[in-house]
Amino acid sequence: MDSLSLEGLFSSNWQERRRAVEALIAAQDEALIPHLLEVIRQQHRDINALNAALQILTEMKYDVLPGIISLCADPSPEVRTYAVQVLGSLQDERAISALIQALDDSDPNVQFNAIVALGQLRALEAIQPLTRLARSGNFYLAYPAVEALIQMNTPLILPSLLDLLEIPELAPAAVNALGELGNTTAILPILDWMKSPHGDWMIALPALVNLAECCGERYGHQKAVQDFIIAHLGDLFPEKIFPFLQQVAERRLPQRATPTYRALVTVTGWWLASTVAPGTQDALREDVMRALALLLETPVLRETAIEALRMGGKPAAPYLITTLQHPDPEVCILGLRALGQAAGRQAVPALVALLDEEDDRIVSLAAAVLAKIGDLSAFLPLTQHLGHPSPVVRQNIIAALNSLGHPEHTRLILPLLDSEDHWTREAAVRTLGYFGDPEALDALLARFEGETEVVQRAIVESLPYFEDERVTGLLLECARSPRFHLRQSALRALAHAPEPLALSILREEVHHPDARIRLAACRSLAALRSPLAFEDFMALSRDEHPAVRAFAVEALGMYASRPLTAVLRPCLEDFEPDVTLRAVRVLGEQGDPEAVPLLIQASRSPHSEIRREAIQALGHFSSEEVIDRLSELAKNRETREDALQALAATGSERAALVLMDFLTPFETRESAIRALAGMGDGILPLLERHLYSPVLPLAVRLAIVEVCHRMHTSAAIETLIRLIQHPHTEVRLASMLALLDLGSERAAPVLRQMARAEPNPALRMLINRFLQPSL
Amino acid sequence: MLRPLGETITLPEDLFALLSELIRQRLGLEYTPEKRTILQDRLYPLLVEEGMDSFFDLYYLLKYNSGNEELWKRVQSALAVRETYFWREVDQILAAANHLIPALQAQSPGRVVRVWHAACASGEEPYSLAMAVRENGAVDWDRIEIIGTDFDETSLNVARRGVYGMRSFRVLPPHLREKYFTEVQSQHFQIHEDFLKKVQFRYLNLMDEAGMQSMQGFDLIFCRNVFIYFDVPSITRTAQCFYQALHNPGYLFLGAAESLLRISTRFELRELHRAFVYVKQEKGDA
Repeated sequence: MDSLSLEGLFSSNWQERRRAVEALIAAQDEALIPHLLEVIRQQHRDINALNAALQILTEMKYDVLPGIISLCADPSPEVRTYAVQVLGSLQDERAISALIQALDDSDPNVQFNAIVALGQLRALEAIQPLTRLARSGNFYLAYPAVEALIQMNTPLILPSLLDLLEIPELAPAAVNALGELGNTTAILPILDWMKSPHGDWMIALPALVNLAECCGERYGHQKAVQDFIIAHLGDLFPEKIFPFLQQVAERRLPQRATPTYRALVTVTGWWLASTVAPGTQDALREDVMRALALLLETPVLRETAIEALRMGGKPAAPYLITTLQHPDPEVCILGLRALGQAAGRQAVPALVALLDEEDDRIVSLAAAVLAKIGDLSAFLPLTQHLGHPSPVVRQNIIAALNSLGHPEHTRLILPLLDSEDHWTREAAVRTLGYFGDPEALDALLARFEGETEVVQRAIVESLPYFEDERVTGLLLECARSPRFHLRQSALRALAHAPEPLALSILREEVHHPDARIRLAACRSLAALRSPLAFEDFMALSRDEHPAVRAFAVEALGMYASRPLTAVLRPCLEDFEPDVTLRAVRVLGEQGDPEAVPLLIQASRSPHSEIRREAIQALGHFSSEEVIDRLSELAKNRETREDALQALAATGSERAALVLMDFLTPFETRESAIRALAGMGDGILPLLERHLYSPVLPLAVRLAIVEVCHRMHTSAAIETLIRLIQHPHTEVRLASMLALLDLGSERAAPVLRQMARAEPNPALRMLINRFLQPSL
Repeated sequence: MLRPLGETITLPEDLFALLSELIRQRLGLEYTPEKRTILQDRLYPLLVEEGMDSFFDLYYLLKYNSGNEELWKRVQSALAVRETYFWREVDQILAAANHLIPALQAQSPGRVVRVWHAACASGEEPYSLAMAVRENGAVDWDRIEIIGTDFDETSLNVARRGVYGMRSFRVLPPHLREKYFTEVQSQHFQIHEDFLKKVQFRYLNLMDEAGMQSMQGFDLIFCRNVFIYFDVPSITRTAQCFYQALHNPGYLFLGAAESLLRISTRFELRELHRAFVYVKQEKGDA
């Protein structure tokens, strides 16, 4: 040990101190540990020396934990406080019992820091003592205790949070936390609190919205949760929530979209959408929609208000129509999108008026909504915009006209072929081609020679939709035209032409000297999906132009039964990353075990997209070397998420075991839960077996229950039902909460049985409390 | 080929990564993964116009076809953000028109105050400044020069004509529309001729080094809601050009959502007359 460096910790010169700290960290001398502990014990008033000693200790590779735990018994409360702080920062679970003991320290600062440290460690074992402190009435400790409980992020804290609803000062924090947990068993207690004398619906509403969104994201039953909440809001909506909404709307209150305001509007939307809302009188619904329409003048709530109106369905359409005249084009666009789901015939005049708008996005959307409404009165106004300067608008107008399916379509469109505007004629050709009415073909063929190239191309691309012998001749002629664009259109059309004709031309054209022609031919050839083209694509995968190579590689993917590994091997070295990427994808889908070494190699590519594709591709295999490589990739933060998903995709038991390893660190737990839940029922026996392993950490047990919860299949529910007999109280509690959340009828008698026979009296009491109307 | 109603060609994630990198290298515009649909929506009209079947075609044409300068120009134009309107973020306009420009004119009698609106799109911003200057009777109209630049010729042509639809007037006080515009067709208004003469519009790509070097001797530069689309090296380069283009003292106005805080420049951020301004003030010179 270097005594000079140790002395340097006490220097008044910060540079000397820093040199001493660096030297001692570099030395990594185990004998130094007792001296550093002594510095903390005896010299902690020298803040520089203290910080230096703490820094060195936390960076020692030796086990410093026992020494620091010993400081927790020091007579000086200051030393105990520092010790507890260090225990929190070391993130070592062995510190948990010392920290739980420190919760009962005589010094409140030690207690406070122990609470914070337990929160940082997410120590599930501390839930009960933390709950006790939260209920202690000492708010210096109660608030951080609630915070620490929230950090645990486990359904196990649900009973504790529900208890805290009885303490007015802590209830708001508890309600927020219940929202974050996203378990539906919390809904009725939150609603009860909201209606109680000290309840506050402005706090409860955002929590309920959060809860519903969590349920949607994790378990996929957001709509049922919304309806359940609305059904149990009772008179609170008409008596309190709506009047406040009206006040907000009339006074244009919010400058910022706080969670409360957003929740207010969101819940209003649920109320409009709900079929079970008590008191859904027409008059009130009208007032509610009027208030939401007023909110369009409040920029921070516009989007939420439009979404709420959309949830009101067709009756809300008149209010949504008002958005179409809004000076801000973004409001108009939001309104149009909502109207797409709610509009009726009354919206047609306003939508037709929008066809004259200068913003192309608005015109396109208006056309799309008109098509959705399907009112034939929009047909003629739409035809007047067929010559719109924007190709996207024209495309949408054509699509709208086609969608309307007017019985007189051909008769009404044919005169437009004589329009002076070539865009109008081109669009008219395309919409005539869509229906392939023989009556239109004569007109198209008669005009072909005299037309501009734009219109000729449209005619050629429409030809395959007409069943007529004359079509073939013109297609053949154009497929050999020296005019590039016309030739390209013909090749494109051949993708929809009868195979014998198309195949012979396209197989010839893939050898054309112009890469653009080869690509067009390649694309149409792929669309034909002919087994005869396999050899062509093999050759094209070595084409000189990267675009042709890339497309050919993708096309080869259609030939699932052919051996491709050798063909695609050179593509993995292609200088164009897109070619490699497609080759990797095809190799993954092919599932040839010989491709595994190539894919493992690709997973080391300097291109992140290729690495990503290779990881996904490896998910198609389940050999030992694949699982090993994916496990390695899962340890890397950048590739972890994809690697965990790929492990799940392998479907193998060994992959499931690897995924279980990732349930332990908190930062990977959520990804691992998602991946395991995606593996399906096949892994349930393995998960269940593990739950009975005596050495499994509590956090992993609870994560496994969460996996079953997320799966919500019949087999997963059966597993959860069995788990309410599990020897661990925490597993029984978590399984019970999951079953209650899923609202399974199958689980109801079992839970009632549990309410009588559960050996743990506290848990028995809880079950009785939770047996409530289910979703 | 015709697509079903409302269906657009999508830009898959993998191709987005390659295409956005190509665009970043060439144009300095940054499209992070969450902006994938924005890039898709902006380039989609170009695809339809060119009769391309997918973004695949666009990627390869941009990357490998020789003589694709015209296509790059069109990509640039498609990515240009044209969404602007009169009186947008007006605090900065008013700070310039009511305080900075009169002060600069007073400091140097006889000198013309020069203002540059970089990436001005269809011209609503420079015309807003011109209107604000007109509204302030204390400013000498003849001693102010306003130049708007943009890399999109279509937008510049709109600016030169000065004819705007109702959307452009969404926040302009109605009395100013009545005072300075004439209705030339239904719901379309043209700005009065003296404004058309006062504001000059030129083509300029902010990525073009030589073009940027040619812009010198300005007192104020507006470059609002542009840097949000740039990557850091492009912001740094452009900010340096602006610094060189400004007199001492000189003032640079950025959009509300933009800042130079993440890069190192010689500008100093100040709050002047309710507006945040980056100020060039070199000691011992001004």
